Order: sequence, then structure tokens, then C-alpha cells
Amino acid sequence: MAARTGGRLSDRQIRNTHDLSDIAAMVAEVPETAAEWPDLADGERASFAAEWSNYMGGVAQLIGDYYEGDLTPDQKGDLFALLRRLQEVGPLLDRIGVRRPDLLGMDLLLDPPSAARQGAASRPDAEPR
Amino acid sequence: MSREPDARRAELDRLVAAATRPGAGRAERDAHRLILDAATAPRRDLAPEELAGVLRHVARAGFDPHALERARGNLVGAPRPDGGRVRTGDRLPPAEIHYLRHVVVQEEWPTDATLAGYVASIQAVIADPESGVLVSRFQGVWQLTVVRESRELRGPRGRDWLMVDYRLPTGHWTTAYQLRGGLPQLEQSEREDRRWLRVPAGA
Repeated sequence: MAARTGGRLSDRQIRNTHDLSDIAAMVAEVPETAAEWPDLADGERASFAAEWSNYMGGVAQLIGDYYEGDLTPDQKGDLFALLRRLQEVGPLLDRIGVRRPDLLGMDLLLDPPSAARQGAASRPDAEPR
Repeated sequence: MSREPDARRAELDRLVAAATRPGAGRAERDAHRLILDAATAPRRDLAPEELAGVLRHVARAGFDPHALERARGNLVGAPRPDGGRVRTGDRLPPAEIHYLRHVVVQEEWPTDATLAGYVASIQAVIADPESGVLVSRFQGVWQLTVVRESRELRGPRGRDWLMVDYRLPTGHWTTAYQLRGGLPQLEQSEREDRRWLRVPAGA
């Protein structure tokens, strides 16, 4: 997930590279965690939910940086891949009762045709899928 | 306690019983009673000595020494404090899990922090009079959260604020980390019935 641009990265971009990697690794755990959820002790469930909450706080920060123009092109691609994966595991998150992230308008960019069907305004800066 | 009306006393008895593990000692039950009293009676402010007593209990509670958690996410391959590396599927004590995640892998704390140092730093934050104290129901379960500016505990990838969650029904800390989303993260809807028992310095 390391940024693959040639120029020197800012401190914020370096942080975002780490954050994208950390969060993607946790999102990849959702299917297995959902499968074992009925057998987990309350403490382990609470631990997962608390960590998840913090990672979703990180997603909000990354989306903010996207809108601020602080992500490299590779980081934008990684963010969109991460958000699509979060959409895919959404039903599992609902099942175990941990919160889905607030996509802060990113759903319009992730699925423009669907958003258009719902009457949402199109955005000029939509990223290609 | 003796000045509580009978109905309120009975209500608190019920709340404490519902939010406290069987076999909990007197100190834990007394702390939970104060937490729940303040949480459910908006005009009930804890006296300084009452809040200090609650925080002494929370600082001593620590992570559950008898529990195990699966090493998830980015922990696989991380160097363990006593040697070796975390393997896929490993189930480790919560203190080690959170140390590996927040100190070793994510470098939220100074990188020279040991497992014992991580735990001691959490205890110091709980004891710090500048720390904020928030009571809330996290996904429906009562928790006490202590939050403070990270300051000297901010590592290379640390954030401005750190927090520790104490979960009443387990009688232990759930996690301690630095807030990626800052203080507003504590205002998420998954934390219901929030009440600050003490507002953190710098907020």
C-alpha cells in the first residue's frame, strides 16, 4: 500500500500511507471476525468494536484529506479500494453491531450511476472506477 | 449514600447489579455505584474525593489478565515482548494485544515504550487531574472513558489525544489508544447517554 509516487511525501502523506495500510488490514479481518462473533467473550467484542471505532475515525480523516487534495494519486486509489471494501462488508458490520463509517459524500464518487438514479447531484471530480 | 431515597437506592442497586460482574469486590461495586449515579442523575455531581476514588479503582483495574484476544489486522509478524513474532491465529492477553497494536506496530506511543511502560502510562493518564472523564453507554454498555492530550506520550505516529476505556461489566480496561479522529470521535452515536464528569484540559 506504499505510495508509489516519485516525489517526496509530506508528513501527512506518510501518515496517510500508514493509516491506509492499518485500516485495510483491519477491514480484511471483518469476515473472519463476523464468523467467530457468536463465540467471542464480551471483552473481545468490546475491544474489536473500540478499535473499529478508531479506525473509522481514521477513515473520516482520510476522506477529509482527499477533499483537501492531500492524497497522492496512489493513495486516492487505495482509499477508493478501501471504501468499496467497506461497502462490501457493510452487511457483516450490521450483523455484529459495529458502525459503518460515515462516507461523507464519498458514496457519490464510489457509485455515480446509482447516486444519479437517486437524484443526487453529480460531482465534477468523480474518480473513475 | 444513606441520604438516598429508597426508590433511588433500589434503582442504583439494580443498575449496579446489571453492570457489574458476579464476584466483584466491594471497591468495584462502590466505584460502579458512583459512576452509575452520576451517569443517570444529571444533577448528581461527584465530589472530588468521590471521583478520585473511582479513578483509583479504574487505574488499578488494568487489562483483563485472564482473557485472550485473537491477533487481528496488522499484528501478524510483530515482534512479541518476550521473543518470537505474532503468528496468524495467535490468541494473546489483551495487554499484549493493545501494546503490540498501539505501541509496536502503529507507533502511537514513543517507540522505546515497553509493555510495562505502556500500562504505567495509562495508569498515569487516569491519575492525571488534567484528564477528562466521560461516562457513556458504548453500544449499550456502560463505560468510563479517561481522555487527555497525548503530550509526552505521543509517538512518531501519535495523535493529539489519547483515551482509555474502562468497561463496567468486565471490570477491566477495553483498550487504550490515541484518537485518530480527535475528541469529536467520542461524540459518535455509538456512545450514548454521554456525560462529562470532568472536562479535559485543553479541550
